[in-house]
Amino acid sequence: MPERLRLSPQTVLVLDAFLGAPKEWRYGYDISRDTDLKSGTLYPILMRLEEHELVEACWETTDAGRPPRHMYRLTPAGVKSARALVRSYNVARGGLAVPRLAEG
Amino acid sequence: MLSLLRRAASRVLHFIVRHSPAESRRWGDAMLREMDFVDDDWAALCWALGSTVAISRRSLMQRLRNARDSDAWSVNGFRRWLPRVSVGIAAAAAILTLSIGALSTFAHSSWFDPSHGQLVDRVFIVAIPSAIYAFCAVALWRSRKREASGILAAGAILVAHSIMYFVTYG
Repeated sequence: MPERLRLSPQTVLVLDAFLGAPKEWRYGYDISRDTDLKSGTLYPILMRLEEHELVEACWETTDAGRPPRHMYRLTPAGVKSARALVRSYNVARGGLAVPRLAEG
Repeated sequence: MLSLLRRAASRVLHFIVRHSPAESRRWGDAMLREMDFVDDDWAALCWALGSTVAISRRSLMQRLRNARDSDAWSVNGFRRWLPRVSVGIAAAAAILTLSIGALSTFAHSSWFDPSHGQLVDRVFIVAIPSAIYAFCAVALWRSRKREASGILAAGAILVAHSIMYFVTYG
């Protein structure tokens, strides 16, 4: 059983990025650019989210010869939990310290 | 220059990933693959360094968890590995005894020069046994890891003792 999910501002940022398009598969580098998080911060968060079954990961199917990329998206349960977690984080912060994602 | 650093960082990450536990390797491969999509050399270098830290930390945690979950520290596990480690320690003690015996024979020979006494002591009591320990540990590591661990433990004690002795008495 994984430990309780630690809800850091960076984790909220990642969840918020997923909630932008909850059903879409995302690449690690794209999430990193959207959230401005470095790989050393982003990947441990993705690992934890996967351990808590909020995020699922898979390898992209590619043309022959092209190495696959790892993709991530929220699980159906993860969408619900992410919304609740982001909301509760915002409430706890009084709606002031909501992490904002870069547009585009 | 930066491109060189980027390649070096990528190689380090590659090495760490290849030597990570299987459970962590998927994540390492994912980070390595994403690095190909980072255009800027500086950003790629940062990506590789960050990934190296992340995967090393995960591998370490994984290894600690595996060690905790294994029965090596239970009474049964202890009973299983202690005799074999003891064999390694006993072998190391025998090597040291033989080396001291050889020193004694050498010191009583007619061609021993007493002015080189201290150097000869260090060679026979520290250098030769340590070299034999290292050789035996490497040779036995794959087939007899516990015995090799015993030899290494004895070697570490000998080296630590020698360092303390040399620091204290010169």
